[in-house]
Amino acid sequence: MNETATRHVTGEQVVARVKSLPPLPQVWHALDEALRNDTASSERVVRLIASDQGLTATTLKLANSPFYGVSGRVASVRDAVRVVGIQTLWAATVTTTAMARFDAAACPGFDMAGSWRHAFSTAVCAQFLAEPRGIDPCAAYTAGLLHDIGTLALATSFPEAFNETLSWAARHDVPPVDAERELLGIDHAVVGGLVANHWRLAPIVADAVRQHHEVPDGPSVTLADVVHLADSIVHALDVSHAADDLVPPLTISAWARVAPTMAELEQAFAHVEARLRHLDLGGLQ
Amino acid sequence: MNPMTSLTAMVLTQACPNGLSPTVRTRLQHLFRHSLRAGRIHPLYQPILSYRLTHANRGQR
Repeated sequence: MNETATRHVTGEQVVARVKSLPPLPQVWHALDEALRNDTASSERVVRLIASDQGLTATTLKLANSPFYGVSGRVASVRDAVRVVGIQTLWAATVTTTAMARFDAAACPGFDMAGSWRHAFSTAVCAQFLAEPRGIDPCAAYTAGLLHDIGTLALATSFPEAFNETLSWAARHDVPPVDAERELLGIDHAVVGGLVANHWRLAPIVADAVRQHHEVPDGPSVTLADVVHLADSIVHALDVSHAADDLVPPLTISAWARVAPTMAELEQAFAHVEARLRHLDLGGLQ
Repeated sequence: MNPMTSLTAMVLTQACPNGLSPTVRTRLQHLFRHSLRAGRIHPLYQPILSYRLTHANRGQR
């Protein structure tokens, strides 16, 4: 059933919209590269953050949030990095940098907080699964955080069409990705891949974002496999609390390549829930 | 409120020794409704069920 009468968006319009998104700041790439190359001494991170006004403000705001118990007393980036920790800081940086490139007010019905809880949990889970499989844990974290960035792009760029896909998904009780393909002819994973390429993210991250709902076959485990499984785990953990949420189907070949043990899965569940309990992005979500 | 981890869910769990509260069980079935309806076993269903059960039983001790 192809309800083309409701199609308001074409692939060309989506591509044009993605191309018009502001690029990521240069310091973001430097920070990403430093963290991914495992060369990130906290001194280098401090220098990079301090070189960017926006990042400095984000960092200080976060460190001074009541969550860390030193509210109003953190005045330097060096102290802020020590208080918050590099990884939480990276999550906040990715979140705020990405958010600033979309007009959240354009789609008031979109559950932004739930969406970021899901993204954060997927990042934590993907990182947990990646490391023992020899996959770059920092790339896994970033890919997990940004795997649904295409949803944000669709929601804020084409709110009417996006809301229609949500209604259609609820009416037919199918995953949103199916409704997007049916009504828009493109899905959020593909759009996310376009955004990732436009922002010049590392190819391994862009591939994982694009393929997280449709992982390609292959002989060995990939980051896309890991993000695909992490996404399903986070749905199973009911992180978003959305009434019509469902656990998306798992590609069996990806499951076989990741091959988690029962004990590892239980550890992953507990790890995600523990990290989620301590999540506070200082009201930045 | 997350029905999986809410205090209400714990109270209901305590009322059902050695098992999941109806709230948690129903929510899990809802989340996995597609595979359950199709008669398929989702690879994550059993692990998450077992995880919830372990934690529910720990909560009773």
